[in-house]
Amino acid sequence: MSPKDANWPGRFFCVTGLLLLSHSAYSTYERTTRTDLAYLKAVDRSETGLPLDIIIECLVSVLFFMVGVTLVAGDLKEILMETEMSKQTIDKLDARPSFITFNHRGRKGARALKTLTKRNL
Amino acid sequence: MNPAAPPQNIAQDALKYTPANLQHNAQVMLFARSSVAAVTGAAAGVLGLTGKDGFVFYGITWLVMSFVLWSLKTRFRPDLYFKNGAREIWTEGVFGGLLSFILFHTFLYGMVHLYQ
Repeated sequence: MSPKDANWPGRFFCVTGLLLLSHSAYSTYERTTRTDLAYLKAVDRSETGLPLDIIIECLVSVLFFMVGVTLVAGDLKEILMETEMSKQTIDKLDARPSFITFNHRGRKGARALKTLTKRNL
Repeated sequence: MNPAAPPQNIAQDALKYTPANLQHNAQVMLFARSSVAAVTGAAAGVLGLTGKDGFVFYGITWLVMSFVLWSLKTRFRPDLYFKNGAREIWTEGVFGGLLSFILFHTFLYGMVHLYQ
């Protein structure tokens, strides 16, 4: 979780969420064991009436984890072939294992692009 | 992108979309979805939600998670990243997530509420 890591906010959110969740789980467990179980079972209130702070802690932990895991999951890539192709160079597209093409259309294309952009300026 | 349009054949799709990026996006979504399903299941177990309440909780967290993905991950433009656009964000993988939700719910509910 060093600051050099690009994903550190996401990791921070994830870890905080998990810690909060385990703390609320432990609190719930402690509460149900410490209180008089026999009495609660007798009046049939053993499952209901979780204190509000535990509930809030639990929900906040889920929210933290959601945001964290969304940040950690990595960026989506655009799926349109058009945008993918516009990132490629002519050398990448024209590459073949055996021969190198020196006289390809890339030079003409680059020159045309330069004139076009100049004209549009 | 129009859902009413007739289904395009696969060859046309291969020219229009980048298959590697489609797969990458699906993987990212699956990772986020399944980890969140596990954690929400654990939370539901801690809260002691059984029966209908648990399913309602799952539905609500699903909507919240979809909103988070829609806003943070796709920056409100899901049609740039998915073939089906927003539908893929809001509906894809509901039942797969539900299974891991139930698994973790059972685990945590048993740990916290049942076995003292």
